Amino acid sequence: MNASSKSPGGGMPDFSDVESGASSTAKEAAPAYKLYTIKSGDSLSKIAKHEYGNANDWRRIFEANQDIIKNPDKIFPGQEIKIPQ
Amino acid sequence: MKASTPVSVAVIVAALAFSMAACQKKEDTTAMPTPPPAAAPAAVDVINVPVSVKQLTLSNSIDETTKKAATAMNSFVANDTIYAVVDTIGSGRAAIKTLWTYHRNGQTAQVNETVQEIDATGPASTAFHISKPGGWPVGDYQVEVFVNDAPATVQKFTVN
Repeated sequence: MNASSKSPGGGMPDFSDVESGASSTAKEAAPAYKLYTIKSGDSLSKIAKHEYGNANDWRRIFEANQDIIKNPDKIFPGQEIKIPQ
Repeated sequence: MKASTPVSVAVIVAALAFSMAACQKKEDTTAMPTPPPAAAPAAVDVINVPVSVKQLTLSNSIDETTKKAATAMNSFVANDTIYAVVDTIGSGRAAIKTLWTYHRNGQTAQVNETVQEIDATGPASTAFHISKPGGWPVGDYQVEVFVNDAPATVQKFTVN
């Protein structure tokens, strides 16, 4: 799974394959999610392919972010979205 | 009439004495019930306060049921899954976030940022984990915990 687009370059390690998750003894008000910042060239299907291994899961990401993404074909670099785990 | 007066007085006195004894006995058996013991002092109320972090523990394994770390650690190896167990007190909805970063030569790389929203009714443990299929780069790391986007605690660790 991708971690974030915030990692600087300059020879720093690549953490884009980091996998994560969370669970609680308390009632979980919503599934855990990872925060991801949109990069230039990203699309929801590309992110879904990277995160879930299936580009068709883009709708899962779209539905988790309908407060900030109104059109799944229009996402912008710098937008921080939720990636459901 | 005169001869019977002492007898009557004696009978009356005896009757009164018996009656008083009976009343006294009745009073004894109908004594007021013992009041219940005073209520124990209320425990410190950690329920009706907003969620806050009590403790952060890092480990490479946890009990999946209790979410408790097997052993507190601050040094890991490349193939470890790294857990951050966030113990909280308080109640209500809260978004608990872990921000994992890597540090080298004054530079910082973001490793991961994960959020778990909880609806707590008291003390709780929320376990976050990260893993890297290719193995963790050796170096210095840090995990910072936020509650509703407010910094709560931070802990450094290393991968050797």
